[in-house]
Amino acid sequence: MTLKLESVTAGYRNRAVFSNLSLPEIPAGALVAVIGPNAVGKSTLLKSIAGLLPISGTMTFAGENLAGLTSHQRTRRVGYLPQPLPQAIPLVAYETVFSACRSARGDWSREETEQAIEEVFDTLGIRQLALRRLSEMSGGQRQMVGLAQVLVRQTPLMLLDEPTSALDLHWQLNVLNAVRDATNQERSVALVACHDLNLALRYCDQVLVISPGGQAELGTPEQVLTPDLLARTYGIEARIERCSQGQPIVLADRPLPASVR
Amino acid sequence: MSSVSAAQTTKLGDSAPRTTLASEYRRFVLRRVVCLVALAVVAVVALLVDIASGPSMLGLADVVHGLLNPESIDAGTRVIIEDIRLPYALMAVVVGACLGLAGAEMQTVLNNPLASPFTLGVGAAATLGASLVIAFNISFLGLAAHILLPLSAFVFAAVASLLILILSRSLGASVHAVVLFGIALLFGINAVVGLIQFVADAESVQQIVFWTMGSLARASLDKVMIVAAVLAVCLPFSLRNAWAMTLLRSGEEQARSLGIRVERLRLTVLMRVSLLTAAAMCFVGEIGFIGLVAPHIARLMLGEDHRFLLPGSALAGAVLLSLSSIASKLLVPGVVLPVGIVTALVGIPLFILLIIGRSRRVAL
Repeated sequence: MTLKLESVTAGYRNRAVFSNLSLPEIPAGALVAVIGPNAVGKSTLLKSIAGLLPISGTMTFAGENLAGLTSHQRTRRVGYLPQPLPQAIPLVAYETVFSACRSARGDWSREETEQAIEEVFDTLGIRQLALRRLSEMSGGQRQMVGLAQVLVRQTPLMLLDEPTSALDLHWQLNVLNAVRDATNQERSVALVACHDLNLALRYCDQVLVISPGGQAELGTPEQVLTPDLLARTYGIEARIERCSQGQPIVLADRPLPASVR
Repeated sequence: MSSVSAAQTTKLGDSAPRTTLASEYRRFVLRRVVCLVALAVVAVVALLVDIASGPSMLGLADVVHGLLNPESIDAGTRVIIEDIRLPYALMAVVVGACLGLAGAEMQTVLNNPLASPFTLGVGAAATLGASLVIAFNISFLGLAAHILLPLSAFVFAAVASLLILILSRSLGASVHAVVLFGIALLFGINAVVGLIQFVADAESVQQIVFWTMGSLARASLDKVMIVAAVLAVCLPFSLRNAWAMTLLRSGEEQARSLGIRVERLRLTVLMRVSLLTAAAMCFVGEIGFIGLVAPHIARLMLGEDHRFLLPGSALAGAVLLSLSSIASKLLVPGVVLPVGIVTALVGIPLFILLIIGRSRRVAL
């Protein structure tokens, strides 16, 4: 189950956000961080793979052309977490996740659905939220429920748009561990758009960097995340150091003046 | 079935045997079913009290006997129940249910708690249709005025919905576009109705004003059957969309990624809403408050799961209009007020009580 993009162009209403984007094959089991400055097209890329935006070019997953799938087939293969949090409405977490299963996994029996929901609430550690209304939750808690809506479906391709933006450190690690486990055990592919480069370094097999010009680079975190690339992409002076346990860490020192970028 | 592992779980009380989430949720759902049944019981009681109340007050037992076994009561009471009170009371129930259901669906697909069939000018369009017939004595295909008036109201309401849909689709059917067109249409139509009132004679103006107040006095069992039939046709389709609407409420992008065709859902729901509104209004005139508040009452009681919210909102609408109907007969002894001007007086205190009750529960 590999993901492949060839000459993909996507955008909004006659405005292409990126053009002719081609990526090397992303292998099964890969957790890929999608990074880049604001408004560079990270969300657009995830949305277009999720089938929410019209594209030109070819996207294949597990040998199937994603654009050729019916919406029914797509919901079983692709799980997408949008950036906006679930709305603060009087819907309890359990039925938020249950309704996602009803819509996307009509092939599951009631027992299978209930078991999957049970497991995802345990995996994410949000069992205590199951019967609480979204309107009575914090932003972070709602984000966890949104994640449960995606993870419960056990899709072989997961697209998560800033899944940890509202979470504290404990929950950030919890979520990335859960996604890491899913990709390891199910040999699924996960693309995670994020701004935290250290989380990317720690958890991801590969990093996809999108630059302001629309160019993309894909490689292992240590190959791609270099001071030079960070200067070009983010306009910052940064170092890659190693902590006492040998884990690489990005240290951002200062923003570079526009003339140097 | 394999799944993401539970290795990193932050579990509380792991050592104790625990109930499954599914069984806890089933108990939660049961409470909602009980709530829905209670609402249905209240609706039936309100219906009976509505039949019992009027210039000559009847006992509830007489009403029940009269309905179940008409031969057991005297002829005078039977006429009052069957010919006068029953159509009136049933009309309150079916019209209230139509408006409650329409309001809930509209608030969901427009993601706007202020939406109601009147936000989009559908109600105003029905008034325009009625006003034209009243003011200009329009005749069409030899139809009598009492048939032409509701027909015209219905056609205008349907055309207004269609117009909004066409305009919205041609400019991208965003939620804000639909609401803005609706409000613009509302003001435009109100201006035209104002113009008609300005040029019409005094008697016509009086009739138009009476129409805008909404009255159940025009009810008959035939008309009740027509409105009930529209409701019976629409409700199953509404419930078929219940999961999709629940997902749409939790987030539009998430719903899209789960295969919900949001534009199509919005279109079919708005068409259903216009049908329900037009059917509800064409015989009784403008009743504006129910479609706005009934969904909020249902949401406070039953939450946002549309399997419960939609029937709950229809029942809340029925209860509200029945209570309003009772109040319209009792507020001024000997006079039956137009029900449209009583709905807000009855609905607002009930609504505030529910909000206070809910906020107290949350605070605790």
